Amino acid sequence: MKKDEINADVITDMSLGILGILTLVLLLFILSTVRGVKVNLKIEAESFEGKYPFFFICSRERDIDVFKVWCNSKYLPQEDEKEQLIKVCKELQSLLKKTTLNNQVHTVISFIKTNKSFNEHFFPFFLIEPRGVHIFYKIERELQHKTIGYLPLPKNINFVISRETGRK
Amino acid sequence: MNKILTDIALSIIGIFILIIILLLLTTSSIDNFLLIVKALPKERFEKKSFFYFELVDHYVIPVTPINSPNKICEPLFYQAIFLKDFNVTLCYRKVKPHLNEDLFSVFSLNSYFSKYIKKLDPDKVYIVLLTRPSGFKQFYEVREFLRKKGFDVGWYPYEENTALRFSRFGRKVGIQ
Repeated sequence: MKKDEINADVITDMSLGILGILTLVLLLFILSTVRGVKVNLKIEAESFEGKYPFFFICSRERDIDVFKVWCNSKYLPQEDEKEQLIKVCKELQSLLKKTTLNNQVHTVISFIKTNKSFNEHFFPFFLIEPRGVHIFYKIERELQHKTIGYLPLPKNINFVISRETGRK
Repeated sequence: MNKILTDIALSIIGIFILIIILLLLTTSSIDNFLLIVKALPKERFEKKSFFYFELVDHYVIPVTPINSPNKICEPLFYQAIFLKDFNVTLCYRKVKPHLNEDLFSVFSLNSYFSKYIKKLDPDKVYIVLLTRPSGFKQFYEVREFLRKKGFDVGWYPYEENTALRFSRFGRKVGIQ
């Protein structure tokens, strides 16, 4: 074998080796980015004493406590319940539009306490974001005697609210 | 020259196969992280005695003392201050769990959590996880683990750097 051919082989092997290492580094980087973000949470909505959960997300934006209302009715099994949810949602959202961010908590609390349709068909269920603990305290204090539910909603989590599947 | 081209082509194919395998592995590992929970209201009454753990990040710290029945918070880990005027006890954590992974990590078999769980009876005790925002993600795994051991589990959120607060009558947290 000539000296030039040996050199060419060595150079090819080295460049392939470097290419392989770079690809692995890239893959490891991609994997480390993906891991920890793609956690999925499936929240199954079950009826309790004939009422379904109505979801609020407790959060905080720009140092103000905020509520987000979950108005997607897909998790409800029957058409009339879906209609009720949409009706209640519209009512609550129109009230929230009229109020300032600072008064949102008060508005939501009085809505939960007094709205007849809401109380006939739903119970409030709070999904608490890491920054939403403070707003949850306020609401929990006010709703001490009501049936409520709450669960933590971790940061960077994908979640879906679905119908119950009967899985225990 | 042909040999070099063949080598390069084979290497590129190899790299693509590797990428596909890693992507498949990643996708399947995402499925493993699917958490399913039921949205049910908390229960109001519970006849078992309450046992509290604090969940912060991936650390679990026993709050209820196992050997000191007269204390509200485990003196090994908490400094308790009773506020007479309010009938409230504040418990300040005095240990730094991140400096003692082995003793406090939820993944450690030597942790206090593992040891306490072995001593507790699921028929007599109801576990409450006092959960900090940094522990929200771990909460579901810990809850699932405890349920598999036969425990009823409830939880209550606590802001990150506040003292745990117990009234004279205890904190009533329903199963959820």
